[in-house]
Amino acid sequence: MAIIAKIGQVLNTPIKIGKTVNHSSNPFAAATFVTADVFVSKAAKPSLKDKLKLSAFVGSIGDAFPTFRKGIESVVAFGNRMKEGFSSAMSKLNEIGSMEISIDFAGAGRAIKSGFASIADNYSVQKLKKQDVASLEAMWKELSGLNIAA
Amino acid sequence: MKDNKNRKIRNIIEALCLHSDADSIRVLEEMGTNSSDDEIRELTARALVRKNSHDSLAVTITNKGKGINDMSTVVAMSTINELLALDNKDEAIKILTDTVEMHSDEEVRENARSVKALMALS
Repeated sequence: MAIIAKIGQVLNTPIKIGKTVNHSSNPFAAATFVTADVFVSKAAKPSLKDKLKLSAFVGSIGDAFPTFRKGIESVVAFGNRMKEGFSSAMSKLNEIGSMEISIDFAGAGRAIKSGFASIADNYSVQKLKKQDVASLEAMWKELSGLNIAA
Repeated sequence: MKDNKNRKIRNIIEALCLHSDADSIRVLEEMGTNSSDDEIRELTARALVRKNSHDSLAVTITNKGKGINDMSTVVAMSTINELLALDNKDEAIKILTDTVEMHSDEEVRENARSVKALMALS
């Protein structure tokens, strides 16, 4: 939007361009980067007025670039700030010490599995201590391969 | 498979240790302290010490080949460590004193004397 506005502005100020041409031996001295030779065509040479317009257009692009550059730079700076912020946050978390930042899905899976196993396990201490001694003795004998009746 | 079986037996020993029924001491003595497995004997002796009752402590202190008198150094040392870790050592010291003074076996008396000395220092 800014470029179009600028182009429009430049193109709509013929008096200013005319003044420049009148006071300069080189009519393209006002152009910032590109000389009019860039636009020379063997097939159809542009008129002086066209050259001036194109020159003004190129000049306006040259003027517009810093704006773009600033915009791009600000985006890059924003990205860098975000990156630095994230890095510093990670550093802070690391500085906390033994706190584990990574998420161990495998470990969590095992923990959940272990939790379910302990619920389903009839040989957990919590369940065993609710049983009477005779039952515990029988279970122990069975596990030891001893004859329960003996 | 063996690990799973040992885990189950370990949990049974722990459950018997926590059991209030006095019969749990008999089961621990019969099944645990007579086991051929050093680990089972060690766990049983420690469980009996943790019960901290007269009968359970007597099994680990006064019986030859059990508890502090076990042939396995690991079992004997583990039992002694458990005795030293007791919060209330009164009953254990009383049994050790009786053992030192009255037990018929010289080796058992000597072991009891050593452990009693350690407990007095701890």
